[in-house]
Amino acid sequence: MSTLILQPSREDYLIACLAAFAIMIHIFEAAIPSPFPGVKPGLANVITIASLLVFGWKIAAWISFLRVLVGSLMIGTFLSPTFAMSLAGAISSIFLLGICWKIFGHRLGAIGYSILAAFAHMAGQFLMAYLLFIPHPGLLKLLPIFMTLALVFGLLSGIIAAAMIRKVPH
Amino acid sequence: MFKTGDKLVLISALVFVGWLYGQFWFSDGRGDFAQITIDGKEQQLVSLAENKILEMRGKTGVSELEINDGRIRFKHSPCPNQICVHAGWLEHGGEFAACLPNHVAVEIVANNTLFDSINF
Repeated sequence: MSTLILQPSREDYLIACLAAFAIMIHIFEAAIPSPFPGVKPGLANVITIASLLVFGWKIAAWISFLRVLVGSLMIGTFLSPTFAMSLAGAISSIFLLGICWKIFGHRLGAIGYSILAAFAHMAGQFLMAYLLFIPHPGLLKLLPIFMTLALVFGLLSGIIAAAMIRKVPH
Repeated sequence: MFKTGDKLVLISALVFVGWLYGQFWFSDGRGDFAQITIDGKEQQLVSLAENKILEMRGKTGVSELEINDGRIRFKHSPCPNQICVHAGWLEHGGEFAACLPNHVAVEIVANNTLFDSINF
């Protein structure tokens, strides 16, 4: 019988470690009650943004995807509507980050990327909710509120990420 | 902490959020077009953007429709009881007025309608 040994690379350990941080934040945050469904501070994105600026887009994308997957398994929302919205948000934010990273690189800092990611996350989530669950024009009235919250929380996590990057030697 | 790019992103984000409020909260569901029906079949869609007076030839004469400031009304109509004229200005999606003797009807067409459905 042959054994297949997968040798994890240094990068794999890095992704696992950072994803574990993000998942931990994600789970802590799930315990905080929220007045609006689907609105959370999104502090786990601090890890994504910091990884983007320090290690590049690929690692940030892995962390974001693993956080949504493992976080939903841990909380118990895997394959539920919450999971669909969360995944839609994560995919749109990581795509926008990828495009902006290609175009702007280090000309944008953590705060800029964080705001962009929060907007894309909210927009993707909202689109998913609109298309799949509540296709009613009345839902659009909530969009400005949600986007305002995305701006506030995006700015907040951006400031935290910027402070974190300054502390980390790289 | 704030790079120039960050400031630009923040400013555009604020402008974008402001635009969203304007778009979804302060556009009051006014219609953009009016659908005019003559004799039950001849239909035409007119924009409410331009102020003008339309003359519609119906069964018994000419109905004058006035478009002003995104609204439309029957100004004159050759009918005895003038119900269409008294219907006044129509501006929201789904609002409706008709001059039955002259076979002319006007309905506002918009994304946000005032009513879900109307039965006659």
